[in-house]
Amino acid sequence: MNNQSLLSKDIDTIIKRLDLEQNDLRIEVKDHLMCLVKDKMDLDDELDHKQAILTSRYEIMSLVKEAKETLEDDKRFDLIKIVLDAVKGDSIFISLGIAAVIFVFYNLSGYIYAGDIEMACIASIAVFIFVRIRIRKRRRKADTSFSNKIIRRYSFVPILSGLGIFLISAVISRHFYHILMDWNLEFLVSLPISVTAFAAGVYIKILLDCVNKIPDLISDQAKVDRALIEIGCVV
Amino acid sequence: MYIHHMNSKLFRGSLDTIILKLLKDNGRMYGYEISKIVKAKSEGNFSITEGSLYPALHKLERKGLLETDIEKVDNRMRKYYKLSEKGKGAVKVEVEEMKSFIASLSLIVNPNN
Repeated sequence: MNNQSLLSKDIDTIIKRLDLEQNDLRIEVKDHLMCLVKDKMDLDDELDHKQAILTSRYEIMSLVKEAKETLEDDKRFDLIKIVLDAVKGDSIFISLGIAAVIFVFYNLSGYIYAGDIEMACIASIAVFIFVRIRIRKRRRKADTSFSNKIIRRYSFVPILSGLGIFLISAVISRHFYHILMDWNLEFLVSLPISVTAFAAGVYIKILLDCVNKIPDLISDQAKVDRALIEIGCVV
Repeated sequence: MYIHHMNSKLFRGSLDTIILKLLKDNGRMYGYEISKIVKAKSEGNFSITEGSLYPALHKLERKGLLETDIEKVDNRMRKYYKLSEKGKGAVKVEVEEMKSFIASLSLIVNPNN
């Protein structure tokens, strides 16, 4: 085996240990390290490839850190997109439909005494546990790649964001509700009720999406990784 | 030492423009090549670390200013970056802005010239 193949093999071993399953990032990290090590060897004839790799520890760490941060940003964006998608396209009609049901519920149970905040907190915890159980089930089939670790780690983000949107809307709307009642403007109280109902509609849509979309993100990532291995697109 | 520190601070703010300009001049380049050319062209005064080069490249790619190709070179895959149509438009604006910034800065730094 020549020097080039030995160097390539050693760099492959390093990359495999780094949990970077994202193919384009692996390609970039490997190419950069190969070029870097070769340049070091060209500058110093006495340096063999193992020594050159040893003197590149800082660059390896820097590349890995950057590659992992890129992956984290990507996956966090995928999760935040669940929140954004609840108010975009056809989803907005589903959110509005749920909001209409909640508006009726508020009118029947009494807006102030609805107990919706407590229900939302309990629902968030329940959905989070359910999502984690589904992820765990899928994980048996899927791999434990770095991308999937990030999705698991940040799976609370859309649930918490949805809860945050609802809680803030509910607290502010109730404040306005009291002001309107104090000023004897009862005919306007539908306005804060509608705002809270809409926020609740969006929040429930986010919860429903989380149940399916987060475990699907894990499965899809694993399918892509397996497909790439099957067609030989591995570093 | 102080001059070098200032250089790196100024340099980081101009990294996107430098990358876009290099890609405009050279067509397509890969990450390591960009870092090498910057070092060579600046006679070793500037060096892009891996920690700042790739985030900048990925950010420009996400913005749609860069396109990528993956090719096999020396028995390994290599990711090349090139300007997209949007990037070709942006590079002109970015370079003009930088020239205007440098001209304005020199009016302050060298008022007698």
